[in-house]
Amino acid sequence: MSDTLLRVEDLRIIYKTDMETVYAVNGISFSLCRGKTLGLVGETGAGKTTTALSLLRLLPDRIGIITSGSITFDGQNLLTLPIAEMRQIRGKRISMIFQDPMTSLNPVLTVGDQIAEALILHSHTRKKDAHIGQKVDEVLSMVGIPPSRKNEYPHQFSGGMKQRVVIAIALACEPDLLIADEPTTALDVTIQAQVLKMMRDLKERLETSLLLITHDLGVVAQTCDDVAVMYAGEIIEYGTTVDIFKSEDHHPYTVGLFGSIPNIRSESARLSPISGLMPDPTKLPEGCNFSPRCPRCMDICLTEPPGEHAMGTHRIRCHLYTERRG
Amino acid sequence: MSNQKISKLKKQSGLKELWRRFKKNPSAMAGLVFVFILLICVVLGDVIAPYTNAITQNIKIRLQYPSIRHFFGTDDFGRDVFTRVVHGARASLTLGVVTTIIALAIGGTLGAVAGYFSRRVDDTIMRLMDVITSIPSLLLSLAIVSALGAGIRNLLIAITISRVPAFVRIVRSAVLTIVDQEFIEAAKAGGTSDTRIIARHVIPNAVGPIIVQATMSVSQLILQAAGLSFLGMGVQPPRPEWGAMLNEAREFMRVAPHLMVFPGMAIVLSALSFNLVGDGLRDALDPKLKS
Repeated sequence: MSDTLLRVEDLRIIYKTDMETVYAVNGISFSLCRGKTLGLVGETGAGKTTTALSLLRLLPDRIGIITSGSITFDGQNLLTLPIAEMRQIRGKRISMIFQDPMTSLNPVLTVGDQIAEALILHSHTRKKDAHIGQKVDEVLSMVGIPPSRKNEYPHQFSGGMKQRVVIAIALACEPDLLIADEPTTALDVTIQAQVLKMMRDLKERLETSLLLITHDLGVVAQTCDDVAVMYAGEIIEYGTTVDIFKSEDHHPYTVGLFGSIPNIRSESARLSPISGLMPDPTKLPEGCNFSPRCPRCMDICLTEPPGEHAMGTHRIRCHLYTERRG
Repeated sequence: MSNQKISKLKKQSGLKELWRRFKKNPSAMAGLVFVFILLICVVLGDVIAPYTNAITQNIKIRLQYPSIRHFFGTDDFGRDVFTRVVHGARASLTLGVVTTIIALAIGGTLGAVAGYFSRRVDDTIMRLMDVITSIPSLLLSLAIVSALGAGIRNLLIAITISRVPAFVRIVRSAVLTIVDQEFIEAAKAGGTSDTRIIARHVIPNAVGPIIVQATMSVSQLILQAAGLSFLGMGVQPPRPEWGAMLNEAREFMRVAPHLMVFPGMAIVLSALSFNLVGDGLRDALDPKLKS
């Protein structure tokens, strides 16, 4: 499909140190169409950030190794590109924004300079031309910051505004794909709403695709077209937002996730988390990764890893759904 | 209040802020005053005291105590000590500042490379620096000057080499903390090359500790240059240099102590004032660094 911007197939990533091997990502596949938003949901340690970094090949040298799989972006296999070409793609066709806006900006450069840098790097002349200044003003207005503030330093902005600057830098070159790694986690709820709305508007205007990594299901409901739920390096459930939020069938982990959210309407003395902890990524269990914690664990779950079972757009990786094939 | 007005209020030039904080420190300001005096000696030396007085010998007026005509007295050859001290500033200061700048350039680059790139590169550079550090700096400088011959140029080379490891260490440790920060990763994610990251993002953030180390280094170098000249390995006569003057004064310690006092005080005050300025800069820069 020429509509598909990004296709990841059976991606496996390990972190290899002298002492141990961490199985961070264990065979995930997903795709993202132009102009759409995919939410990547999961607990800390599920492998979301690792996946995002691997798309830009930013895994730590020699330690982060992509052992198998393919990443196809706009028809190109990103894993075989030489680094110089990869640098052309970073910032220009695929941009990434990180979690903490406090440290994502260089404290000794003005925000205008930092936005300009992104533009200069990917311009033809690689010099500061007159039109760069103009473009910086445009980009700042686009994220709702008065262009007169472009000569100020990051410490003169509040957290929410810093994140807007970060988004401005990421979108300055109008990339095809924006990867946002928990962009609102460090912000308070009201600012979170503002930033998300701004990202939605910009996304529509620039027709950018968005890979949104988050552990907040509320954010997912508001912004995403498709959702992938990750656990211990695997995508255990995948579907449209309607599938994930409205369907009757779910992976037991997803049920647990929804159950963990405190209900604003009912009163309860205790929260109901999922019991147990995510497995040690250096020693993953045999069979299903979720089996030690699963309330509906069967005998087969302990010995055989479950395959993916598709029901239309909804895919669930669980033995419970083996009988019903769509 | 309009947005414009707020932003104007918030806008404070980094340098002005630095100067304001620096001014509050009395010892730092005292140091700065003396550094300024030294600068005047270097630039306007000839105006204050013509160079000819420094080298014209006049045995008839030798070893005179300080007087109206000769503020600091005269030395063994009848030369005016005041003039010699003033012109000696040129040698000491030039040595101190020039070698600091060169050592900073070399050491800074090596330190940034060591802190930014792989473990292997880091280890290689640091072990090399360990070799240089393990030899006492005065002995190292002596060895180099003995091998290459006396004179200002070789003195410069010798002292610069002994100063480089300190800069490498300081810059490397600053770089190590900076490289962990998220904006470096963001720059990589934006497609910036390593060289550009080091030049545009890493080094400007490390400037604080570098400046402090640089001023401290100037004072240490003044002392080292004086020490080497004292041993006869530096500036050659009849050029005045404080260390060399100290050496000449040894013979006449009991007869004409003023020959030792004035050059000695010049060395002490110069080293002290650069140190105070360095301390003041460090204190003035700190709160900014913390944010």
